[in-house]
Parts: sequence; structure tokens; C-alpha cells
Amino acid sequence: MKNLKLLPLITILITLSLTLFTSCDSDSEFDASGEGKGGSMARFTFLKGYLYIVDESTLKTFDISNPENPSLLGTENVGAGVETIFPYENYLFLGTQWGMKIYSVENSPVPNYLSDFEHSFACDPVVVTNSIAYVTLRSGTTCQTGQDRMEIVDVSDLRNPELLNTIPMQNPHGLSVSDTVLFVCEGDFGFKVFNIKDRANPELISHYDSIPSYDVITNYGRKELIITGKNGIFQYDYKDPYNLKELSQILSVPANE
Amino acid sequence: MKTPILKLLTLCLFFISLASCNFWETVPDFDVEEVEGYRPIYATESETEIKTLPAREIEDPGKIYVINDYLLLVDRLKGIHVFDNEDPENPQNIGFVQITGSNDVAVRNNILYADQASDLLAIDISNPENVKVASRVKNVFPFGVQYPQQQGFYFECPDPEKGIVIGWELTTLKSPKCYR
Repeated sequence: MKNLKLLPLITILITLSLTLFTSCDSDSEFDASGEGKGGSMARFTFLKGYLYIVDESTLKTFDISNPENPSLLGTENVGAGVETIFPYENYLFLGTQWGMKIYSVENSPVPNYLSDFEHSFACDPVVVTNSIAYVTLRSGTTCQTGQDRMEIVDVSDLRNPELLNTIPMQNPHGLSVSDTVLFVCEGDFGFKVFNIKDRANPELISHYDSIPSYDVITNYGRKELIITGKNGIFQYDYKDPYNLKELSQILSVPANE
Repeated sequence: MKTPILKLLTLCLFFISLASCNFWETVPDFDVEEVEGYRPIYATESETEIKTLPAREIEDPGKIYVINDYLLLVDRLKGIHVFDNEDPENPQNIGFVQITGSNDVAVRNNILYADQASDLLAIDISNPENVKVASRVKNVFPFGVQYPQQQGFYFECPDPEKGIVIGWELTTLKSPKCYR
């Protein structure tokens, strides 16, 4: 009895969904709906529907409920030298020249400062996964001195980040984590692949030293790695992280010279 | 009597040696007439327009962004290369969105957010062949991107009156006032 009554409703629902799907078949195949993903060197990020931007010494929050008209909700002073931003759960991790800063958007879209993890003057992007933050620190003229390295920080207590390990690096830039694999760009020194099953003790799997690497994006679904650097874009299949398979190269003009 | 003077002398010598030490090495001597350095290249009027151009080669690869099957690559200070990356073994360079003075990009719901010098742009890309600036928020980046990538060089300080910086060229400068 009840089932029969539901039948018309189900029919209507099915018809409605079919209509919606077929009406999406537009002339242009270009689909930029939803949200994309940037690299760890990004200064822009989305979190919970808001747009966050870092610049020099501020973190700005934009309301993009009307996407065509971003409206500034707040400007937070975060100290000089902020360079990168990474969203993680309800938090924003900022890479600054003085350390990693953590902000919360748990209670409001305008971020609330939680904590700082300071280190010697260096330039650093950060990625976070499973309560562990991987921070690369790079030396260089404006990034001043300080060893080139990667720091592994326990952020399970966001108000008290704790250094777990320091790994020496050559000239680390952007990085990306995909489950138990960590990719780190080493600038002109190429890029490295780490096994991070033991989260605080990365095990170096391989070093591709001929691919200049500035930043990286991993596409978890397709297990695809996208590396960008001065020679252009290099893409790999990392289904077997011990055996990356190169998919394609898009070379830049300097690489072709 | 002699001892305090000796102490004072030693102290003075100590400070003099400190001053001659290279503590201030990174602050250059701006009292230079002609020196090699970078001069800003300002965008021409047609270059400041935000528009879709035919696909072109990558010159100065910067940040990357993926949205659905598309891969975006910022060509520093010039704009964004758009690649159809549905088949990553065969990415297709399908166009270039000219945004002079840009370094960053993020896309959400068919709106591409990018910086242009000191402004934040919201660009409607629902019709990618004909992108349109939906809005511009001024002064989001008060520092702009007003210096060359290279470090350890003098450069001519950009003049905002001259427009948006689209690149830098190595040349001989006369009494530059900026250094990085």
C-alpha cells in the first residue's frame, strides 16, 4: 500500500533528476564549477565557502556568496613575511618567513589566531595531513640563512605544535601529500618522493634530479602528480610510488632553448 | 688613570671593528651612478586588457591550479595558460587568459580569482573564449608585485603612474633607488 503511494513520487524524482542531467549538456564543455586545487605555494585558498588571501603581512577574508563580487569581511595582521596558505579541516596554516602560524575558522569565517611555530628566518610553504604538518624551509638571499630542511610538526594539539623531526634538504620549495606519499620540490635540484607510512620519519624513495621543481599538485583520485618548474610542467602517474611513470611534459620556452 | 683610558680605547677599537664587519652587507650602497640592474617593463594599453588570447608557449612558469579536467599555469606577471588535461598523457594547450601583473589564481564556480598588481579580480570564465571581468577589489595587495624575481640586484623602483609591471629587463641603471 505505502509502496504504491510512493511510486508517483519516485517517478517524479527520477524524471526531475534526468531533466537536470540532460539540461547540463551545454554547448561549451568547459566546466569550472565547484572548487579547484592549488599548490602549496598558493596565496589564495577557499575554506568553507570563503576566499582567504595572504599578502606580505595580512590575511584577508572575502565573502564570495556572490561569487562575482568578493566582499572583504576582515583583515588580520599576521606579522611580516607571510607567503603561503594551506587549508586543513577548520584551520588555515600560514607559511611565513618567521614560522608557521595556525588560525581557526571553527567559530567564524574571520580567522582566529591559535598558535605559532617559529623557526629561524626562512621561506616556507606547509602542508598538513593526519595532524602532521610538513614544512619546508629554504635558504637564499631574501630568505636569509638557516639550513635547507623540512620540519615535521605534530599539530594534534593546534595550540601547541611540537617538532617531531628535521630532514636536511637541498633547496626545498613546494610540497604535497597524498595518503602515505610525500612529494617535495627541490628547486633546481629536482624533486623527491618519500614514503610517510611512519609519519614522523619519511623514507626517501627516489630523487628525480633533472626536473626543476617549484611546486606540485597531487590528484589523489587519479594518482597523478603535476610538477611545475622553470622547464615547464611534468606529469606522472604515481599508482606505484616506487615506480613513477612519466605521462607528459609541457616544456617552457627556456627549456626548449 | 691609564687603565680606564686603555679600557676605553679597547672598547672603541672593538666597536670600530664591528662596524667594519660585514653585518650590513645586505644593505647596498645607493651612492652608485651607473650599475647593472633591472628596469620594469610596463604593460601597454592592449596588454592591460583582461581577455582570452590564443594558446601560446610558456615563458616564466609560476603557480599551478587544477579545476576539474583543466590545468592552469600562471606565466608570471603575464597571465594564465589553460590546458585541457582530461588526458594527462596528452595535455592540450587551449588558450591564454591575459592578466598582466598576476602571480596567483584560484577558481570556484566559474569565477577565476586572480591578482593584478595591487587589485583582486573576479573574472567570469563561464564562457572561456570570452572571459569578462566581473569585479575588481582595489588595494588587496598594497605591496603589489613590485620587484624582480632575481635577488642581489639593484632595480628601478616601479612608478605606479606608469601602469602595471609586466616584466623586468636587465640593463644599465642610473642611480637606482631600489635593491633586492
